[in-house]
Amino acid sequence: MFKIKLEQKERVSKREELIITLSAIGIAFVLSGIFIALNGVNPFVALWKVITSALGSPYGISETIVKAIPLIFTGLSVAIALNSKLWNIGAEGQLFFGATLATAFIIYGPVLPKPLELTVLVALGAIGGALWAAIPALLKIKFKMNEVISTLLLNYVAINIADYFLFGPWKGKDNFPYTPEFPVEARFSRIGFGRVHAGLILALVLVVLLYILIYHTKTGYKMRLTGSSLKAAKYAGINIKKMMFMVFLMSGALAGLAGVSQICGIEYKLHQHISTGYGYTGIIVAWLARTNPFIIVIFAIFLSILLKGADSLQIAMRLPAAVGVVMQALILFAILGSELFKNYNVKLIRGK
Amino acid sequence: MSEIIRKLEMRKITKKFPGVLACNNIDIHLKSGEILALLGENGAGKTTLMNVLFGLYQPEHGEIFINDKQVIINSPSIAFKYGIGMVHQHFMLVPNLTVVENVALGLLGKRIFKLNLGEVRNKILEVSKLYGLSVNPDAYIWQLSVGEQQRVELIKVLCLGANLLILDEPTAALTPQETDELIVLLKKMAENDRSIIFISHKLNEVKAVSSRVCVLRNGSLVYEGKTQEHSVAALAEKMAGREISMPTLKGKSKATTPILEIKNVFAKGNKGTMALDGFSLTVNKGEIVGIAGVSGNGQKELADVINGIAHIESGKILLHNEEITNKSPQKIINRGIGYIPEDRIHEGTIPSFSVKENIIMKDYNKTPLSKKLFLQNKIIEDYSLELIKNFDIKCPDNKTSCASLSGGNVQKVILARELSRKPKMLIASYPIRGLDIGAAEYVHEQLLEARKENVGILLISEELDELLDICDRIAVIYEGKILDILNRDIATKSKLGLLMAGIKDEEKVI
Repeated sequence: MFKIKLEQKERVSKREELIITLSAIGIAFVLSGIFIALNGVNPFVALWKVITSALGSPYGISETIVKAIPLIFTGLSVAIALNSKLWNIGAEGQLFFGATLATAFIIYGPVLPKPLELTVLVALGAIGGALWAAIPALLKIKFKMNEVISTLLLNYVAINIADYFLFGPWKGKDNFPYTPEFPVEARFSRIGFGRVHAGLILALVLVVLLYILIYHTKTGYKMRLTGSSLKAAKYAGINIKKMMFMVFLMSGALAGLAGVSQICGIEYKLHQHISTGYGYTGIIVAWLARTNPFIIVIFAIFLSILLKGADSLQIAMRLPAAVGVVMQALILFAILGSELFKNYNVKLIRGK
Repeated sequence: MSEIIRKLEMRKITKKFPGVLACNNIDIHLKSGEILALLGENGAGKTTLMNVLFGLYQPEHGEIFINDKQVIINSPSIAFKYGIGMVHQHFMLVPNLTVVENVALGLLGKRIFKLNLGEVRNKILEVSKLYGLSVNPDAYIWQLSVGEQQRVELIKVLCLGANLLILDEPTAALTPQETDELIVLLKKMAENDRSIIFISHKLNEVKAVSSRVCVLRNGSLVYEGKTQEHSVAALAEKMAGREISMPTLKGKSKATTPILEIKNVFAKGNKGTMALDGFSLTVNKGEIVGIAGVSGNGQKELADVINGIAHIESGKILLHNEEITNKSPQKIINRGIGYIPEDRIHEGTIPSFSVKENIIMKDYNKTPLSKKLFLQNKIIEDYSLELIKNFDIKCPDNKTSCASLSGGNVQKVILARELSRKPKMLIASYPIRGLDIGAAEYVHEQLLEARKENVGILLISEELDELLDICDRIAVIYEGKILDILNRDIATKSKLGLLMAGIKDEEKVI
């Protein structure tokens, strides 16, 4: 008989960490392959299809980037919270609330010149997301409520608020639940590559800014300190509650920007499907990339390849739509499971 | 019950960790009725060797023989089966359960479906009577003092039928009286043919309790022999590999200007009771005032309230005649109080941060280390290198994470940070706890140096040797109050020990 024995690791090198993460992704792929094979499709053919559809043509590449844009925002959103050991499972809701608030301005506000209009919309999206994140932040700080639960549940509330407007006052002329198309002033410009829009530039600028914030500013140092040890942060004189609140607002604002980027960059209207779970996929992106904003871009693209690929599997190979979700779930499982190998040496020993 | 261990041998034990040879070809042996002391500095390999014996680690090489038969011990339950029990340095008790329930947890492995708490209690009473280990079986662990918790640990392993006991630094948290009691108890157990391995770096205890001693240094066995054949100083030298002299305070303090005044402070602890219950004390400039006391008598709360980390209900705290009562930690840091916290790993430093990042923990927001919003990395770099040099912090470079430093070097990082800020007042909580002699020597030198520079120092400790070495005055804290303050010329271990037990009037005892 064999027994599994765990020995705590002293520390784990960057190299080891990378190998473990990549192995976890590999295992997730093998498991996904089995799932695909059970559906009667050769997994290698499916994998090839995923790669060629996402990266095999300029159109594919541009669509992959389009899907990566919201993932960069939500990935940053979750990661910045995670950096301070806060769990924001609510990026989806913050995305919707930010989008709803921006839409409200388009519907009720004046049409401004394009640069001004877009500035207002981006600001409102960020404010909306931040406001929505402020609720769980206050609940946590005042009443010690666990933010995992509150952020998650508030997603449904935010989506229902959007639904209220979509089925009520903002209902389209043909009675379908979407707003009228936005005026040209409220649309992000395309950058000349398929549907890729200026949201990408905003996202990349934020990546750089956040990198500087985290690693080169006093605030970033305080954030990392708070995230590493609450006790040490207090000891160092940091106002932890203020810090948590600020991080939540930033996290929410980033998710809100994902919402604006979707409605002003791609959809040109608010409807129920502006996000295909980008807030949740952002959790996987953040968890894979940990706290480095640049690596978030890489994993946002990686996951958008999967999302794009899963779409075409559904169309070309008649696989169920759930394939994409299943693959994401397997990756998340594998990554979470791989944490064990980062913290422990796992040995198989002969028992008696 | 298992066969009694008449003879234990560990032969040529080698255990490697990544980059460290924790145990290098170590041979030790032990007969029943013997108390073997395993002596060595931190990181010498004592605990690793014992974890091998207890089945927590698998050695790369080496064999274990019990009564001349080779055995393979690859889990603690196997170790128990052979009659080996271990009391860890950090107790393995569940605070929310009672003594009976905790002991029953250990027995659970044997019988899964049947749990007879009454039977367990009888067993506890039987064992405690046999060895004079008094404990209330129905008390909750959280209600017990550290000394009592240790007795529960002992009872637990005895109830499991252990006849070889491994005690890892058992006296680390005990009062002098409790330590003496433990030594008597261990000797009694040895007379009853139990064998004991006693891990420690405290030489006096090793001398008092053991018949034989094995000295480990850097993973190798450097000496083995009868305890009585060597003086304490000789053992210290073998352990450190060089001559050691702990610095002591010389000359009287002329200090009379108060720097820190604590006036009738009441503060709640985390159990909701008054942890500080009318606490008053004054520390003068250029004076080291010791706080002696069994841990859990308000020391943690005292350090916290002075530093603004916890709030007080009533009373006043003055620094240099200015009130700092319930000010934020940041404000108190700015006023010039330095703090060496008890938990040096998770409060005083951040293990995942580099030495450099840990050094700037309190000064990152000051020029020139930062300007406006931004950290000045170049200046921080130079500043950290300077401190690493001045305080002789041994690390590969300033980007090394604190997690990979030894306890002594982590403490040096904290000292470097706190002392370089030129504090007016320094709170030092258990600054040498768990450090090896060399590092402890260094910490004390630094504290004495700071005293010379007119810093007021409050030294919280349970080690009376430490307090008697370097304090001008020693105050004894008991149940959140100062019971008495002794000047260094009249303070003795026995006087302090009685006060720590809450006994103020000596005559009453006699």
